[in-house]
Amino acid sequence: MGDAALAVFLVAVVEPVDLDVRDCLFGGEVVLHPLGGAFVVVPGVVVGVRVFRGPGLILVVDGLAALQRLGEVVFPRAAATPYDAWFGKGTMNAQTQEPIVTSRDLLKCYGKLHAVDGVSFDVHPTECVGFLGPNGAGKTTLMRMILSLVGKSGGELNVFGLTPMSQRKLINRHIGVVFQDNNLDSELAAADSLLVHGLYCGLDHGTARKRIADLLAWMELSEKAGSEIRELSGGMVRRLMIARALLNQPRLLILDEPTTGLDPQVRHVIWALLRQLKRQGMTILLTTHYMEEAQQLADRVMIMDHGKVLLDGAPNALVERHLERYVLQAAGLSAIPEHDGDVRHEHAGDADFFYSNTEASLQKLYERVRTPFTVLRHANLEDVFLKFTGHGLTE
Amino acid sequence: MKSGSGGAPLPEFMRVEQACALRTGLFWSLYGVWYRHVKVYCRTLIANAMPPVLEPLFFFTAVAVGLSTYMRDGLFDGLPYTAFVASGILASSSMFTGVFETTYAAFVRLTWQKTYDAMLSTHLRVHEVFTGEFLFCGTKGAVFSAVVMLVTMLFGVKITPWCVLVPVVGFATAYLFGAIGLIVTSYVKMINNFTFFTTGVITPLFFFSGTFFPVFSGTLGPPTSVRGVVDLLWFVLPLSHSVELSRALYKAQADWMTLAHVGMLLLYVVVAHWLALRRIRTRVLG
Ligand SMILES: Nc1ncnc2c1ncn2[C@@H]1O[C@H](COP(=O)(O)OP(=O)(O)O)[C@@H](O)[C@H]1O
Ligand SMILES: [Mg+2]
Repeated sequence: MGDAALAVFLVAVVEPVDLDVRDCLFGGEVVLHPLGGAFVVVPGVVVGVRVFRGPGLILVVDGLAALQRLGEVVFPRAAATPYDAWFGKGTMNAQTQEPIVTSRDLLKCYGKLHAVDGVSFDVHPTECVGFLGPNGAGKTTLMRMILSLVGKSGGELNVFGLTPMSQRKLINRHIGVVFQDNNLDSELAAADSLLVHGLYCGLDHGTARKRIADLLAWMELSEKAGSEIRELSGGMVRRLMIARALLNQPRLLILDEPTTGLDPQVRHVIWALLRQLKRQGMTILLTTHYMEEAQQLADRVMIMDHGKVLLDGAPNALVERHLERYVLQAAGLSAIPEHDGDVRHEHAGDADFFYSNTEASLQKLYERVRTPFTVLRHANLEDVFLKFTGHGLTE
Repeated sequence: MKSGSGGAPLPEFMRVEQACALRTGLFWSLYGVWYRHVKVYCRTLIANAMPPVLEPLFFFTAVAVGLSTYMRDGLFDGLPYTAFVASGILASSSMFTGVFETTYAAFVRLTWQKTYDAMLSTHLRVHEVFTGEFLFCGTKGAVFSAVVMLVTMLFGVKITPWCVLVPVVGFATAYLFGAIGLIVTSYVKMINNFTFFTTGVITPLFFFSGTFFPVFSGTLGPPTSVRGVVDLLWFVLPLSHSVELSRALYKAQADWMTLAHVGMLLLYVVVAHWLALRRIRTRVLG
């Protein structure tokens, strides 16, 4: 009787269903009930689970011990999903090649606006994928969908073979994220703001403190452990956010514009740290609007604009595929000079771009239009980016 | 090269598998959130706790100590006026602390500090994040009501052994108003909008729930007379029950109405909790 009362109290706490019964949070076998809902049969403990659309989840628990077990998460026994291949016992370094993220025609609408508009891609283990796009391209929205912070309006999305939102509890356990804006608790000391995050992740105080000390030492921030966040420079804050994202030993690291607004030294430091993680086999999703960052870190980039992926490929391959080898960039020309037949000309704002595969043709042109603002260089990712997203303002 | 050039090796736990049982059950999820709030709150304790502790005491000294000198021998609902007001004010201070936490403070966390994004990027679920927050509201309510009780004792207010339950009333009150505040927050788009709620709802509750004068006639009758309507309105106000319960502790008396107050308070807690989580869910998972 007392146990029953306790179970009912638990029901009051369990909120509208965002839980798939097949979550298998309680382990055991799921038996669907003909009248709706389901029973989960765990050896030694019988747990009845009834799912209603909307209002909530009723858990009928057999005894206090069962109630306690409910709190502990038991992994599903039968390894059938890719998730188990990654996270079953002793699979820390499992070499499964199943994609970690798969997206098909993914859609997110805010009213009439399509923030993410039919995006399809796969992310394979140990890959670093860069999402490149101007502000408002939908990069952040896409990352938030992977993190179960934003629900999809259409299409398919799988992370670790599971469904975001309904299985967030299993998915997010293995994801680390560095948000675009600093959201460390600015009232706390650096180490404490990481500690609270460690507790959210389910670490105990001791493990969390140990990991924080290790991470701060790795980032050479140990002497800042006691400083308040607001006393730290932008670069230190960003490194702290990376440290925070690693506390739960993630398999997938999401970085939303990790170096925006930082000075070049700090950017290079952060890139070095991230490359170190890459070498360790970390799978990384990175959004940025710095071409150089994508070229430094990403195995593959996806150029996005207005919620759509325009291009997808390795950075150098994209440049080779879509542009000539060399570019002559000139600003403020009064007239377009004569140029060889193999030179392609583009005009944008007050700048002119001349593309060619033969350096000599551009060299000739360069002699004629030489101004302080004229440069002859290799074509790079930025040129590809501008070619596909347009030279004008997109906002 | 400056510090952090990536020369140091990765921490061992990032390289080698370590057995580490994650504590992902409901209890530990609530604990993590609760701990965060306590930690942040204590970091700025003086600035945080001064107004909510001092304000009720100002009211107490002004109203109870000041007025009661003119009310010699008068008993209010069986209590001296100072005890009458003290028992009411400890409930209302719990209300204020609960409401503040989930309106202004939660709004800042939601829209500027993005604290909830950080929490929800882990395995925490929406209901765990906000239930943890209500528990923190309750904790503050328990502490504040105890502080108000102890300080008013210095002014000569007599307590009874039952008053050890005062923090329980404080806890439930702050939990309830934490949930109510969050319902409001789920609708609010600009922080200024909260003034409608605080002056339009919370202040009237503070004055008309029986904090400073007895509103209730003693028996709930049918709402056919003015008296009956007033009684019924008072009985529907969410703060009345906390005030009456704390007063019952000060009187060390319970009757069937006390049981009704316990029931109503719990009912409000359950309904507000459920509604708040339902509302805030659509707000945070846009
Ligand atoms: N919660 C929201 N409500 C309405 N519109 C939104 C919301 N979040 C993002 N948007 C819109 O979606 C588009 C994509 O935004 P975002 O994903 O932040 O782009 P990016 O990160 O690439 O700069 C923008 O036009 C933005 O205004
Ligand atoms: Mg963004």
